[in-house]
Amino acid sequence: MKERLKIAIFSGNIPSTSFIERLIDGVSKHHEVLLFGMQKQKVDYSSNSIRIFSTPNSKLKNSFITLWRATKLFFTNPKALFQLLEEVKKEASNYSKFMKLSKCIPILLHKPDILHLQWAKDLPKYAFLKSTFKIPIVVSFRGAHINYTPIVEPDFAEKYKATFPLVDAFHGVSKTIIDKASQYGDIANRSTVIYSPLPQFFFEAYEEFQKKESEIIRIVSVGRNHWKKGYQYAVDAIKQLKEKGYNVHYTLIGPSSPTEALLFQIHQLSVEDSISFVGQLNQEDLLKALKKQDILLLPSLGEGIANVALEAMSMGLPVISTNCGGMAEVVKHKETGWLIPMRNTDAIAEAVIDFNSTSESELKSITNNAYKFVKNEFDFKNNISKFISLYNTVVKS
Amino acid sequence: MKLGIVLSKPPSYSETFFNSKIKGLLEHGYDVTLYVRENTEEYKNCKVYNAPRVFKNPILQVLSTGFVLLSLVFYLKRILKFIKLEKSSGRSITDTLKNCYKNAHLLKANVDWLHFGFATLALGSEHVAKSIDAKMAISCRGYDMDVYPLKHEKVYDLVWKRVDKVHAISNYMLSKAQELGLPDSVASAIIYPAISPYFFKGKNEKQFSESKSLNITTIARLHWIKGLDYTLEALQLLKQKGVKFNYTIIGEGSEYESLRYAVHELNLENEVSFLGKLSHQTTLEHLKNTDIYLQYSHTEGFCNAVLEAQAMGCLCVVSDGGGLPENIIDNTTGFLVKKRDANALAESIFRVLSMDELDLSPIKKAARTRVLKDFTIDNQIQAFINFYE
Repeated sequence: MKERLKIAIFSGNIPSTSFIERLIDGVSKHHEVLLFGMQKQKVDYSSNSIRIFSTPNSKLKNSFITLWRATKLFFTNPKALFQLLEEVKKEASNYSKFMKLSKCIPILLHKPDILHLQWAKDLPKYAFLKSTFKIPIVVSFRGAHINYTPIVEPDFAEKYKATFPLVDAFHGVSKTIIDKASQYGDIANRSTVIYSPLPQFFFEAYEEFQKKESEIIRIVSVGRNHWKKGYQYAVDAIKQLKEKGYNVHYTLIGPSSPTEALLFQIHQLSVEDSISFVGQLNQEDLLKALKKQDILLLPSLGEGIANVALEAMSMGLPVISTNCGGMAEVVKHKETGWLIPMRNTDAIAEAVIDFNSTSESELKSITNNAYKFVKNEFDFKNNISKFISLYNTVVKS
Repeated sequence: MKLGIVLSKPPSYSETFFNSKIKGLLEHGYDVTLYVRENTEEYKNCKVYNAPRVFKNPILQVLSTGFVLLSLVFYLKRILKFIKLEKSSGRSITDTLKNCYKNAHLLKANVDWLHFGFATLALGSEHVAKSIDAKMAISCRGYDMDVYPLKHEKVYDLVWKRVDKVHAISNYMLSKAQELGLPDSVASAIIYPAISPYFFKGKNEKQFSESKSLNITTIARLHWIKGLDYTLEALQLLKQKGVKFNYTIIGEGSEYESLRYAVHELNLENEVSFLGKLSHQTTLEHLKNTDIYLQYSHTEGFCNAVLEAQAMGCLCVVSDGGGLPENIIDNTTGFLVKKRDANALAESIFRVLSMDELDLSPIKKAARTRVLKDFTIDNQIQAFINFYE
């Protein structure tokens, strides 16, 4: 094995989302991690194996830095600079030409051994780094970019078909998503399923399930405001449960206020008193908030494998999830939770009722199964070592 | 009678009902002027005045403010009255000045009635009518009553104090306004929308036939309020029962992505087509070939599209949201379905499909007859004349 590799973990933004940050942290213990992309806010990494070569957000600052980097590239590798300029010409507007230039120059200056694109949608833009500059590319399939981008923007289907052959290896966050991506190219033998690692934190919070004293059934969902999250079905279900005489309370963690559509729905169904919105929480507060709940509901219409469901399972909170994306790989009906069809209000309500009438001992066994399963498959160290061996195979071949 | 109508922009060519209202009032000797926020196209039916533009560039804004203030010099008495009224209602000086600027075109108006086409347009302009010695009217049409106040509490309190007469496009809209604080002491009138004379031509009779697949249509902006996701779910249930159909959605909007995704997930790719926004004429051509018209909105002020669909001889299946129960008489001129319930909608359509043509044909006839009798432009114009007299 080659000494330390330079791995570019590219999400477009610095800092990135929490799970990508965890990957950065984990990989940095084995290899050098290079970060490229737009810097949205200042970040301090304790590890000196993580190096940031960001594109500044300010246009003025960016102009100077890009000019400086271009000069450096001109003296170190003039051919690369000219090849890049040729590539950049293909962009439509002057602004996008400049942005592409300013984003790609640092990558060529610090030429990583592997460029790991976190979002499939970036592949068409950066595939030339492989075809022209021979930088090996790994692409992650995490959800939306495979599940619905090519459907709502059909030209992406074509772009994927054209660029998938260039990719050295694919990583899918679930088996389901690799199956889905396979329609855009013959990728099965270059693909590896690596479930996204969960922080130890949640496993440490695991407690054996105990029925709460309260009369109220507390249901919680966690996530941002987006049609894909399917909250409207949850709200319809709350209405249905109330009509059936169940005392329920639904908490949404993530959005601090409802969208116009949800606001209207809640008002029209007169369930204002049974629903509350809590803004985004940090992990510690999220954990505290989840402890007070009886069940986590994932009413989503499309996901990879929702982290929040895994987090709930790891801490011993029962889960009701729609059968979206790869959720069926983790939520096995009545074994590790409740798996229900998507877009189905009745099914949500029925699952809550079923949960409510399940005996404590059975709930103990379901939540314990869920914990064990997640602990096995989503352990942090295990997962990072899978990425490391994925990188190694790419470099070797 | 001089009438000033305040709108966000002039009615486009396709908004026939609005244009014919203006034409009708002109024919009855009304002097009609439009006051708009943005003038998108040349409007020929009457004079149009624009609100002063709001500039992003602060220098342009200062220049424009100076210019507008200068032009108001000849209306000093009105301005002082406006400022006094604003002050008495507790508006801050900044807001008062902003409102002076925003309402400059209205403060110069010489009209007997100032009619705000949507309740939201009256916000910040509550004192204009009184300052120019005109009467103030507002129309309650839908979003302004159903959604906007949910995000802005007590938003119309001042409007209710100042308005002389309220026009609602349905009973539902009026009751919404009352719920939001419109006192009984304020005069009000329900004037339903009307349909263009175009519909009186032809007969538009059609029958379901086993041999061809069923044409189902909805005309709606692609907006969450239209309940199109629930509609698609119901159609999936219908497909599972073996019904063959084509479903056409006419309209464009921000929910395209989520709806397109739903079509894919629900496996309705072959049944559903999104036609985008079409001209009024082309839309009507589609209605000619439509067997069932669906409007499964969460709410509607009244819904012109449903009126037009009835006039075109389509069988209408609509939700019981908002003003729709006034638009369709259940089991007599169409079918009402409980809102937000895909199962109920699917069952309702399925039931309709299993009904005999002998039972359905009178319903379609009754719908067309009622619409052509009760929702004419002549009726509407007479109602508006009574409204202003």
